[in-house]
Amino acid sequence: MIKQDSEGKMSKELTLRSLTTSMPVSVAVYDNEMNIISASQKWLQRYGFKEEDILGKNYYSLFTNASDEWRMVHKRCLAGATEKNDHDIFRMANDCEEIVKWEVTPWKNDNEEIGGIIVYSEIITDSETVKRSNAKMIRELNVLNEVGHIIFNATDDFDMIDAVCKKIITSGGYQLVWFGFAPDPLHEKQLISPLHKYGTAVHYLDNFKIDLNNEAQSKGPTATALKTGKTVVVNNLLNAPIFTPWLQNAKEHNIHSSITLPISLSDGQKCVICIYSCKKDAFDEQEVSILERLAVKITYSFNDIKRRYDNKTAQIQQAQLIKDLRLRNRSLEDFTYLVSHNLRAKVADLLGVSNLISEHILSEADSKELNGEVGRIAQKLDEVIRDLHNTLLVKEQTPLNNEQIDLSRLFAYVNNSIASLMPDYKTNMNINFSENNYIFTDRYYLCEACTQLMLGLMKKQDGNTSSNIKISSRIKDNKVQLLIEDDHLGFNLKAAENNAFTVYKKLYQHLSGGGIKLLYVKAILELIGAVFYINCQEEENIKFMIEFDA
Amino acid sequence: MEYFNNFIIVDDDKVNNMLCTKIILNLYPEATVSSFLTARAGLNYIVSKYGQPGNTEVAVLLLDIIMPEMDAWDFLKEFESYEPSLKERIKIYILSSSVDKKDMMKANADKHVEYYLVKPLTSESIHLMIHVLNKKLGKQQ
Repeated sequence: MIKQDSEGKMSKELTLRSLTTSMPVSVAVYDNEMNIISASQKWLQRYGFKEEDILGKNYYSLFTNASDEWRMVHKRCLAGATEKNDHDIFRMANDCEEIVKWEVTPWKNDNEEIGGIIVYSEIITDSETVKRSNAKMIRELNVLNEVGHIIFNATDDFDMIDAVCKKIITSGGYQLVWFGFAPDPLHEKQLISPLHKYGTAVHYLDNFKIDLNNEAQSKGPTATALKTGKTVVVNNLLNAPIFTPWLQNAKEHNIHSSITLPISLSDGQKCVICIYSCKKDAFDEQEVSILERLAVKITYSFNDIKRRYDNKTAQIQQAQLIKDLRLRNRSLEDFTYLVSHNLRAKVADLLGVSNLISEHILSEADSKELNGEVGRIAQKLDEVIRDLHNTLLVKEQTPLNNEQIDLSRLFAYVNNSIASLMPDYKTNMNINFSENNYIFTDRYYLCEACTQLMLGLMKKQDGNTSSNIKISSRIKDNKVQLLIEDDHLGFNLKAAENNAFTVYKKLYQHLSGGGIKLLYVKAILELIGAVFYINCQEEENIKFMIEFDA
Repeated sequence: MEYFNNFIIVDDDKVNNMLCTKIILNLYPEATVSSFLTARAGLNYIVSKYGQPGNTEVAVLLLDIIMPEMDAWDFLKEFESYEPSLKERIKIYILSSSVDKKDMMKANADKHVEYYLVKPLTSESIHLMIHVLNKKLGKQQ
């Protein structure tokens, strides 16, 4: 029965007691001495008391382990303060930690004096866990979404995986991530090392290599993930035997959990993504599921980039093939035109002579003169046919015997050959191989190309029988270049660049053989994989350059 | 042959120049034949002789296509820049060993080229050439 005063009003203490018992939350009312006046059913249930056992009992006699901090809160509130905390962590009697929301406020008696305090508390551990879980899921979904964005826009697998690694750390909140390819199974050394790495504990990966031939390391998470094709989660590295080879290093970098995600690409290549966390039990079921989805996305992206790359490469190769065929076609057209002209020019001369003879219009002196000319025409015709024969021979497939060639020795040999072939010609060869003295190619063909070019340069049509030829070599842009320059003035090559034949023909005056000699040299050099350039400008010496891959 | 008794041959082939000279002189003994081994020398001669003020002479030019330094196409390009009064007096015939249709078409497309002749030059072809030229000139006069 509730006490009432003379006016029929309940005292404040009674009102409080009455209200407290029926409150659906955990509330206890204390007097100035911290004796319990009343407590709600929730409060009794939480601490496992019956009402009759606690009424009038002192709080500190029931909760002997109450912290000093908590005692101070009581004291301050008994002095008139109101205090609260929406997120306080309490260690309970069963040694579990609970998140508690509480408020302590003084209550006043009928005389408006502080009669004691009301303590309201609510364990919110469960709702906090849900909140945290939700936050975690949002974070993970963000990672997945952002990684998806990277993957969608990726054009290069190297850049893609680099950006993904960074995103895993910056948005995923992990400590470290690395990505690496499995070694070729046929390779003797079976090592995996990080190709991309990112994170605050990146020094964990200094000199980091996993040797699959090492017994202990071959049982580690990476090797296992690659072997089984399944995700390997280690939520407490300190207690995981498979992590033993890396345990000390992990301790030094405060790494406690890891997840290793295997990736199998469409071309059979395998790779892994390893993610580390400084927290124990960082990779729960939900997190693993999301990271596995991320691995699937990365796999798709790798395969897609590769497919696009393969398509692009095929297109480039096709375009290059068409270009090569066009050039080849053009080259054949030039060759045919040149051969046709050089052969027919001599045949036309012979036909002309024949016409004159048959028309009986030649004097005796004319006949003598033409006899000499016929011999010269025949000689030139023979030269054209020989050059043509040589050029056609070179155009056939011939096995190459590549070797390291000492250029000084090669040109000494070329010089001797020319001297014996053309003793009447004087050549001043200024040879300088101080920058580079070696070329890796077929000795026979290079020697033949250089000899023919030198001969061509010397057998000029102007009847001059001496030449000054500069020869040097250098390495430029990863190419070995052989430079040959003589002292005859060139012409405007640019004006003739669209017609290769014109170039050869224009060089005709400069180079013997009516162009075929140059085509012969070019054909030999093409056979040994070299590129032949002519650098020719008006009022400047003509320069020839033979370029090889270094 | 009253109008065309001047012949110019431009070809880097000495034998061809000699053959042409003999054929022309055999047909037209009073003709003047000048031959040159380069296109540049041929152009210089044309300008120096036919470009003189008061010169009204006409000439037949036998021009080879493929020559070093300056070929027939370069020659025609430079010839185009000359005075019309000079150009109309030089009748250009391409004389080439090339039987390539592209060369023939290119030559025939040039307004300064009268005709394309394939080497060797014969008495018949030179006779026909002069006949046609005289007829044209007669019509013009």
